[in-house]
Amino acid sequence: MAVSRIRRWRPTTPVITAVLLAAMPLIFISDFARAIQLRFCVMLLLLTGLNFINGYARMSSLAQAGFYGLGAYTAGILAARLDVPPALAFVAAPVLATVAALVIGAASLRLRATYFTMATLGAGYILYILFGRMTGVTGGPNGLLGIPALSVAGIEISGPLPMYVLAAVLALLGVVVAYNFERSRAGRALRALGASEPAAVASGVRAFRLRLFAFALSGCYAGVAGALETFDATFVSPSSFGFLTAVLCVVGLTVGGAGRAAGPLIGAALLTALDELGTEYAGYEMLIVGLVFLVVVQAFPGGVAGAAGARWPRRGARPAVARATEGSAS
Amino acid sequence: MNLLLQVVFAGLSVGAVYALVAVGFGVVANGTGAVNFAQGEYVMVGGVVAGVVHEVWHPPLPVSVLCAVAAGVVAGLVTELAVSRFSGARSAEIITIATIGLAVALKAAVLLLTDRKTYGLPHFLGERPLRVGGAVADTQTLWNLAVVFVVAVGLSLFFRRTRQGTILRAAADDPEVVTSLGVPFHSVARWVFVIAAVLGALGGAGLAPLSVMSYESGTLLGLKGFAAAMLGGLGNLYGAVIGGLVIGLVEAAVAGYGSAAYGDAVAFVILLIILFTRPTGLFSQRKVVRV
Repeated sequence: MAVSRIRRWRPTTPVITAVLLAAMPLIFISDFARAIQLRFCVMLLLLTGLNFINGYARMSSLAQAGFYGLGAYTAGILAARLDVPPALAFVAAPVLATVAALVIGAASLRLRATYFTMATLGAGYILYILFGRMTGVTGGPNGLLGIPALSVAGIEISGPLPMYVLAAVLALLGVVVAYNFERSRAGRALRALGASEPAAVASGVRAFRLRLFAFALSGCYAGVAGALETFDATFVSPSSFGFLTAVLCVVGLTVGGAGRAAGPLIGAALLTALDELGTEYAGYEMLIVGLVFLVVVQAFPGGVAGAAGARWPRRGARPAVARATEGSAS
Repeated sequence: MNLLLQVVFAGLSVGAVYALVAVGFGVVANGTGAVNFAQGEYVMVGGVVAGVVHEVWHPPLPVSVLCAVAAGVVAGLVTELAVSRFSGARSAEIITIATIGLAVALKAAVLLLTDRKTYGLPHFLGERPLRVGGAVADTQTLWNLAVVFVVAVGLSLFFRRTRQGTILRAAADDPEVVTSLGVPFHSVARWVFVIAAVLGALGGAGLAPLSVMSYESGTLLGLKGFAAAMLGGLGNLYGAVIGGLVIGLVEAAVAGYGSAAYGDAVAFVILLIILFTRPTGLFSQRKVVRV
């Protein structure tokens, strides 16, 4: 590859994310605003994770809400019922969600895209039913109570601001990892696979392993999001992890721009705004969500980020396939 | 009371509705290659429309059912407009994902129009339950099974004996040939979505006497109906009927003999088992779904 030309510097997604996450608590300082900001971080983690499988690999997963709930309940049950140190419970959440994603992915990633979607839907729904019905373990529909405050090395992290700082740091870390992954060899191979499976496989990409890796990453991010949610709310209720949440994750990512670094950021902002609208205009917001999604999926498959990228292309930008296949055949 | 017979009756009555939904999934999958996430919402629309008409005007029952069918026709036409007119690229994946948006919008529209109210209908064949061998059978079960039977035979005749049915079968085998012979994609899509929506609406009207219908009744029914369609082999007419009845029966058995709490999980466990072990379904061996 030729030495790259000198390009005008443009803000990258991690930079924008860092500025946004740092500026938000300085501009809006009420506890109410802090709750919304934390919600945004959780959404950002969920969508950034989902972007690995739905965006880069182009296999639509509807299991994100299930992994999110698995993370939330793992952290909650370990900390509240089994007296595991909260910090350890926090770490266990993404671990278990990753393992669940590996198991579900190993069984379902050999299926064609549409059937994979249905398998993840089934798996996610079973998790949701278990959250609500295993009353002895999860507290059932009444929710899980008595979750202790999070503390690391004797320092207690509780209250709106410390929780937000933790969420912001984790969300930023997640975005940076995803951004670097997108540009790594594995990331390029994964995007090549999403663009054209036969071409990627012919270039030596191991399709199944790579997809499994992407799916496991999506589970891991959802696990972190779940643990954050649990220790912030100190309460877990099954209703947050149902089919609607799974659909909203896909909607947010698709409208934001699936397969693009900026997609989850835009999607998370939209979903957080929607959450607030929903409390005021119950019903109308879902009608708008459905209709907007319907149009975006068909007319703007790249979402907001894709439409913006087509309007203001990066100089020297080449099609993803050309970039992605480089270096994957050795 | 005879628990086994009771379980069988309960299973068949709701299984018949799953069967109608499953047949709808199959018809759409054959015509467009897509999985129609709005399928469950058709059931909801049918049930709610029949219930609203009954509650507001108190017409004879057949009129309420006919209104449900008419609502189904409209819902099918809306679906075709919504998923096949916006884009040139008609991949099955895009249509599948687009129907998720439509399902969300339909549900929200009914929520707003009905203000979250629930609706029911009287039994079609009289309120007095039948007593058979120590168990109680709801007369509505008989009606629902009869509808499934008539639908299966009728559709089978339609697909084999009529010109339009033959075109739809040809589209299922090779959509490109059918398009090149002058039948546009949206014509095929319109037919299959209307058929699927009418089946769903009939199921909804038949279910309304058994359990009240509201804007949120459709989603779970649709997902269970998909499990039934996969069990019988997606696109296989009789397979879908059997799949629906089997899922209804297993669900009733789990609720009757085991724990009612996990009844809802049955369909999804069956869906995963069939996807992982035999994704072509129990009876069909035609289509390759693994890559």
